[in-house]
Amino acid sequence: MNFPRNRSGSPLSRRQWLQRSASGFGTLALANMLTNDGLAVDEGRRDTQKPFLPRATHFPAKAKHIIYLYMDGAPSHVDIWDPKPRLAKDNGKPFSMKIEPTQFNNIGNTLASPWKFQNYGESGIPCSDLFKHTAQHVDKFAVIRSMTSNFSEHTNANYFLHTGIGVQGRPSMGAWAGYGLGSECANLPAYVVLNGGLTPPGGLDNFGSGFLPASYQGSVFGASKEPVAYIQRREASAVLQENKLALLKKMDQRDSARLNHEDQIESAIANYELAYRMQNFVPELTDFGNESEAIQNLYGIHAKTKGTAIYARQCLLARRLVEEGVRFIELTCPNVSHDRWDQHGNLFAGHTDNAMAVDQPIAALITDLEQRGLLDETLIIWSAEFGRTPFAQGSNGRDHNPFGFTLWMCGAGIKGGTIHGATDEYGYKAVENKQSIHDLHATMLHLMGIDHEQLTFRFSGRDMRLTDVHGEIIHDILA
Amino acid sequence: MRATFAAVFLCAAYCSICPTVVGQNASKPTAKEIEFFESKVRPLLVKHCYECHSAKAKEPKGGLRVDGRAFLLAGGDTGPAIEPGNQDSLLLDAIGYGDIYQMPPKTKLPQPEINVFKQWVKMGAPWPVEETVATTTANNFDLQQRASSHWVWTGPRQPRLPRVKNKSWPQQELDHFILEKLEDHDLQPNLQTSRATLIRRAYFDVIGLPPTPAEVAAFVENPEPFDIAFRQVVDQLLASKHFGERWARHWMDLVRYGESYGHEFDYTIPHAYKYRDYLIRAINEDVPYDQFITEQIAGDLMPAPRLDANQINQSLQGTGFWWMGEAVHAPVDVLQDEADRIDNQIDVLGKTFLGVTVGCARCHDHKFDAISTKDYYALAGFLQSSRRDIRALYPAGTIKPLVQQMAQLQMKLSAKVASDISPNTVLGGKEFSRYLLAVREVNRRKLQYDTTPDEAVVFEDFENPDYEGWVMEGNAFGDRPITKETQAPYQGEQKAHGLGWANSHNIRKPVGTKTGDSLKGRLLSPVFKIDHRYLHFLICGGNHKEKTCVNLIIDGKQVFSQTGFNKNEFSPIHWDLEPYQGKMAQIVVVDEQEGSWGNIGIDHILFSPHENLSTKNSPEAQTKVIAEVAAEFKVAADKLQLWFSAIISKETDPVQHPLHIWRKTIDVPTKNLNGQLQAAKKQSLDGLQKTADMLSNSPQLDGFEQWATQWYIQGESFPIKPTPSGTLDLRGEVIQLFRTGSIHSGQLSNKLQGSFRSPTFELNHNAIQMKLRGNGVESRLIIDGFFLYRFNALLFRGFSTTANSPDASRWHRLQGDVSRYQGHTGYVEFLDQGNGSICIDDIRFTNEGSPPEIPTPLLQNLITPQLDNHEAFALSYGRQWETALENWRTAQLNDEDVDLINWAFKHTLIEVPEDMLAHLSDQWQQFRKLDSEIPKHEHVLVMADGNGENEDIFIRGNHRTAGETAPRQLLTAIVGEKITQSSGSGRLELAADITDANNPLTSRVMVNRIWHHLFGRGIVASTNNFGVLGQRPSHPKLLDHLARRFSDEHQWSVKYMIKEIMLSSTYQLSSTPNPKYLDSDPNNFLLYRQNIRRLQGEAIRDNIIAVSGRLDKTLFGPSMPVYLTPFMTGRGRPKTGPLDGAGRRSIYISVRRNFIAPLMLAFDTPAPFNSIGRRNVSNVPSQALILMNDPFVIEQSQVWAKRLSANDKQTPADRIDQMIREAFGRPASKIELADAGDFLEIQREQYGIAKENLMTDIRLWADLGHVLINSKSFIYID
Repeated sequence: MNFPRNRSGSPLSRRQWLQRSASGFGTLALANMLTNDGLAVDEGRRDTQKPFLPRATHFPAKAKHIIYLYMDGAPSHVDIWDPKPRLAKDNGKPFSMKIEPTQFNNIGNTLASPWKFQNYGESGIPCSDLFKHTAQHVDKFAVIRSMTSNFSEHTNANYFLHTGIGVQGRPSMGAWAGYGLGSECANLPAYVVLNGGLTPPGGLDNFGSGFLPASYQGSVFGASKEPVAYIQRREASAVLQENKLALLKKMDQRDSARLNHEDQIESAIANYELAYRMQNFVPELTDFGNESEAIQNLYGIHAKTKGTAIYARQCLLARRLVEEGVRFIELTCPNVSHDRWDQHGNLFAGHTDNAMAVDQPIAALITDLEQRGLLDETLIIWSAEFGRTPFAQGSNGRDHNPFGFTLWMCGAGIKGGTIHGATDEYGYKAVENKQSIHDLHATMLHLMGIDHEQLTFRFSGRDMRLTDVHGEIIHDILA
Repeated sequence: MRATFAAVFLCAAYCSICPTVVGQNASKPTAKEIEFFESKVRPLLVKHCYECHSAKAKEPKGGLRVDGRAFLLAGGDTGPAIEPGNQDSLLLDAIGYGDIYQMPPKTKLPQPEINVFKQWVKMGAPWPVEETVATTTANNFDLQQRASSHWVWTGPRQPRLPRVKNKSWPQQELDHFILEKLEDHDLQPNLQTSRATLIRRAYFDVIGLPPTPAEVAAFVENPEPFDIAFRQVVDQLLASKHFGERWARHWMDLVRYGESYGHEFDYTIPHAYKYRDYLIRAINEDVPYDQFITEQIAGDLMPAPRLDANQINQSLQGTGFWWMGEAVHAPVDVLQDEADRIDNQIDVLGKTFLGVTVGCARCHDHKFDAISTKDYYALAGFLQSSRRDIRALYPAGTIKPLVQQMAQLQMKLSAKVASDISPNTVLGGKEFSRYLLAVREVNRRKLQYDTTPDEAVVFEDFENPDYEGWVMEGNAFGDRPITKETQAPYQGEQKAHGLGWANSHNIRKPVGTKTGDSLKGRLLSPVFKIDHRYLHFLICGGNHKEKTCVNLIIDGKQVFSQTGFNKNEFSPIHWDLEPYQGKMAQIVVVDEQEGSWGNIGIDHILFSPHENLSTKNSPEAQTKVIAEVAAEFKVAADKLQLWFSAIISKETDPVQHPLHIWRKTIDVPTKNLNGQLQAAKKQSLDGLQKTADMLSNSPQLDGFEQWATQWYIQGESFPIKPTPSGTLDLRGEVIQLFRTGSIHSGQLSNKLQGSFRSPTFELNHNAIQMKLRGNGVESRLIIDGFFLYRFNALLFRGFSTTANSPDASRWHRLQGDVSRYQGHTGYVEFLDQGNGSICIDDIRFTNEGSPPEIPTPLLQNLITPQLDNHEAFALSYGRQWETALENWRTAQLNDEDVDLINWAFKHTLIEVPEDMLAHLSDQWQQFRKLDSEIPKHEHVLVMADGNGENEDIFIRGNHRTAGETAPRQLLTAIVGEKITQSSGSGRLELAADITDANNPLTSRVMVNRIWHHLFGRGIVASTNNFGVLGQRPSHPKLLDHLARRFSDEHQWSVKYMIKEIMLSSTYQLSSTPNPKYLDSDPNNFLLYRQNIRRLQGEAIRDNIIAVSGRLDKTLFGPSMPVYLTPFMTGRGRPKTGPLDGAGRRSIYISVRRNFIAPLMLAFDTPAPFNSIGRRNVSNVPSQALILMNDPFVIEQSQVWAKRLSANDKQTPADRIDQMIREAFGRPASKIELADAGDFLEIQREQYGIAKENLMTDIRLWADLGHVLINSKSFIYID
């Protein structure tokens, strides 16, 4: 049994493909014929049998890969990227702006940030002491301080952030990327989620394919010994499994021949070959033995602080996935025993521990990608589903705030050292260059060479988009 | 009309009206004003607004243009943008970033620019006169035009049967339609497929399970001609119980069936599986499709619902599907949540029953189809007027007569007792007063008795407000003893001595932030000298040795230690101190335990020479006193004993009790009596006045005297009218009366269940207060249909209460977050689920606190101004007693009468005459017998009606911007103007319109679904969308032919329809692609062959367990939990189930939204968020990985191998052949036998298995089985 490992993938030649494929010329011919007959072609679908054929972009892409650093639970922007001296001035006083309904409705007084801020780099972009490592890279960042969301509750907001709609069951942005671009990687799916231990509220549906074919759903890599579900063979030895697969192939090929090489049977057979390649490839991918000690230390693989080593592994793996050609890589956070970044109370300890876990690995990831020349083709996004209130919840916490929060992007196509947008003097609401999640999605797709209005899928009687009927590209942050 | 709570901008008309001439100002603006406009205002409009709101924009956003004054005056979708002079104008609100709009959207204007606009509007919005021919932006949606230009809105008419050349080919009429097209395109249909292939196809299509080799053989070898033999197979399959399991699953895709709400915590949807079982039964019974629809839309309203053999209402259960959607536990905007929930329901309704995407018309008229926004909100009204209900289902034929019989018996008996009872027959007023006085005398003598010196010495009774003399360590014991007021209410009656006691269970604040059992500490007594034989005390709390205990330390050594008994009630303990006389000692109460039962309590510590404390209070002594007093007062001694306990019991503690004041003044000296009584009377009067004042400010929702409002009653426990005077409570052992003019869910029996719901109201107060008595019945407020807060009261604190006062009516309140929802609409509901009963007296909206607990109003009658001795007071009670009995007789009982009478009868103070008693107990027995016959029930989640409300159009789908009202009706394109007349939701009419023979959609949509499931692609491929963006039918005439056959010929029988299609030549075609047609019909649109189809996830798994032999064919019941892998993480993670699902079919595996079985997800089982008519058929590596490496698949291969190994007479070839027959439904070919044989050999060598063990070592056969399960022949049907 010998399944070749290559990056271009198809076991069929282009000619064979056209002969056998349902999406060959024949279809076009009949489609014309049937349209005249009042018959339309199949509802907006790509060929579900070969989902990852690389596809042409609408215009040249800046970013070939996206690494999405999802900060589960929502870090407080006024404590990290959006310093507000007014908070210190009004600390302990009743909040003076009109307060919108909040998740917990336990409104406290104005709360100053307990962290010091410094200006970094040539751009002088300020950042609090929570992200001292990451802040070294600010000259490569576009910091958007005027993000907004439509939901102030985690699950809706997570669905909204990931799928552009605040309900369950829609395709995730990573699925859209795979659907739009296909994949350059023969051994892995286009959308990989590196789960650090915390599954976001809303569950794995945040990474789902929704109405898109299942091929595009995020493949979740766990932190356990078996990083991908069902990736490990159960047979006692490789040869026992190979014997099985050899017999299987013989039987399947005979079936296929009997059915005149019907397309879906052929594709399903080919699918086993990708599965087999993945099975052999993933363990190799997750073995860091060939990474130098310096690199491992850069990321913090051996760090003692809680969560750091886990996130370091995720970041390092993300780099390796970029090298393999994976399109969209999302990282979820490790558990540092504070219920994610969701500090309704215990703000200081919670944010400190969360930041300690991710700061050094993120900085290392940027450095490493840059050293390898990969940062130019990789877009890194750091964001949560919303921000936190500038007034306290209780005495030492902050509630959810969808009216204004901060994210940053760096890498491919991003104008470094940029601050875009602003919140009011308290950091409560975005008031300048207000940006929506749809704008974020439009910009991400744009950087990948996709016109967000053109990337559609016919479902439920509509041409669905990641950006629904909204979304404007944030040109100000583009290089 | 429903109320909206946001700033409401009433819309002049739904479609924007556009002026033809702009600039007709009421008064001509001055030159200065014009200059102001031109220099300040217009530049801002151009700069910030024109891009989206002028002639420049392709389509002005929100229908608003700002490049003309008249445009601004007319406004956009949400009404006028400016009203000259009005500072609340929408434009100003929008640029001020108000609630509805925030403009310009990206960046708020600087304040000076905002001020310019303010000033301009204040000036009257001056604008120069300029003539502009407006380009109209009027709505050009033409529903009629849409309806007449798309095929689906007319028909179906029975088409003529097409003429075909090959006349021998068709077996069914439908074949003509297929053949006609094939002949038109010069295509030859494939040959009929083989019997073996066909039976496998038929089995999976009809029952979703593979045929056994024997079943295949029976068909293949059947000497009957092909058509007759196959008809037999189809008949058998359609009669199989498994048919419903297969086709119910198809339907579950449509109604987004799920058993949890998804979202953050994935809470369970109660009783969801009952709906699944309903589907299986209904489909197996072939309930006609029109009725099937009616049951689901309005099964709760059907006048003659379908009952099963056990007389259980089946129709009702169909409505469960409405509630299968996802749901949020803490929506910040509850109105939005409601709109989203209803949107999902409408989406499912539209797609499932009508095959159109009504949901697209939520925000605007449908972009393509003949569906207006008004149509959408007309449907929303049906749901707005309906409510979620959990019903206890009883056998219908049994329960109704039974309840009726019970009610009649109760009425008869009540009337009889009311007429029989009088002072003469039971107890006269004078006698009543004699007993009161006798009780007083017993009490007086007992008091004397008690004051004789006791040999016991109280050391500590914790009656003081502090722990004086005791030393505290830690903070578990607080800074003072616990009393009834400060104890944790959930600890119940602790039976302490006196008023106070010590306890380390903490709910005190701010003693520590931790509550409950989390605190630790010790309580140390003063040191004392032991000079009594025994130490007695009471103890309660946890049973943790050395951790929760009371210790006695003597000379620094612990000599006794006693833990609690894991009980909140105090228990008596005594220690014999004989050996320690004269020594110094200290009591130490210890709580060193956190968590469960980490508390300890102590009370009533005393010294005594006696081991038994109760020597002096002997029952004999009491009896003696009572006998003496009874003789003196000429009353019966046995009764006096009862009177004494009835008055001196805790029951008379509350001031509302009719005997409270007697007990309270029983030992008051005569000279003080009048003073105390007048004070009490005044207190009662003041309280009554205060209550009346408070209540007069609190509008009544219902007081149940007049039965003014229309309440919604479901189930059996709530009576249909308020309780009449003198209604007997027959649930207990003694005569008791129900309060007059309340609603009591236990009026007949505590076992019966039901719900009681108010009409919808608009909430305009801080709280709702309800006068209730009862226990175990939840009372709650439902705002905007939001029902999920029972899991987590975040944002909805105080929405629910469960009255826990079985004996007294008290004001209970729904408050807390309730005040946040003023302006919202809602209703209150009472849910009696058989755990108790509730008596509802009064329900009010209020901004006040709770009315005080006041002495019984009886005091106003009892206490006259001159009342100055106990004898007169007792007589007063006697008169009151006679009045109460008279009111009973004349059916005018009030609450005070009832309280007094109930108290007397409850304690059997009343002698009921023998003959009356005999009659009574006979009838009572009969009543109890009926009660015992109340049958068992099951709970179902269903829909119930509320009051009919029409929904307003939400402009642009925004619930904050209400437009015109949309009266409830089905889509205009189907029924024209046909407004529902019902006073309820009108769902029954809706169902009737949907199933009307003239509805062009219903029959077509369903036959198309059936076709889809039998061919893998519908005649309309987009099965859920027959609209303009859906696909056109490949065979329009065939679709209409089938639709008419379905509704007319087959009377909506799904089974007949399936059978007709399966008996067609088209269904039976071979599926092998014809290479010649690769160009002409590569996708087989014209059906020259059957389609090769991959099995769905469920069928793959069912196939695996059927072939392995693990299949458990049990039907119905609670779902098996999903087997969870380590990858299935997240909040709400349920308990894992068995790897093999206990062998149950996949339809019985739990569908929890956030934890769907990986095998199902990999093979495209849809996540249940939306109606899915056609599943994806994707091809992903995880499918291969699962079949290769899932322990479940490996295990089933082994189960299969083990089963086969039982047969030791087989040759290897025999067994290979058997396995291939079982897996593929056909014999093994020679080459397969050879390949498999070789494989077994290679594996045998690899494992190092001896040759002679080839047949017995299951590893080898499991490996072969594993390969077969992975093969394409296994997971595809051809």
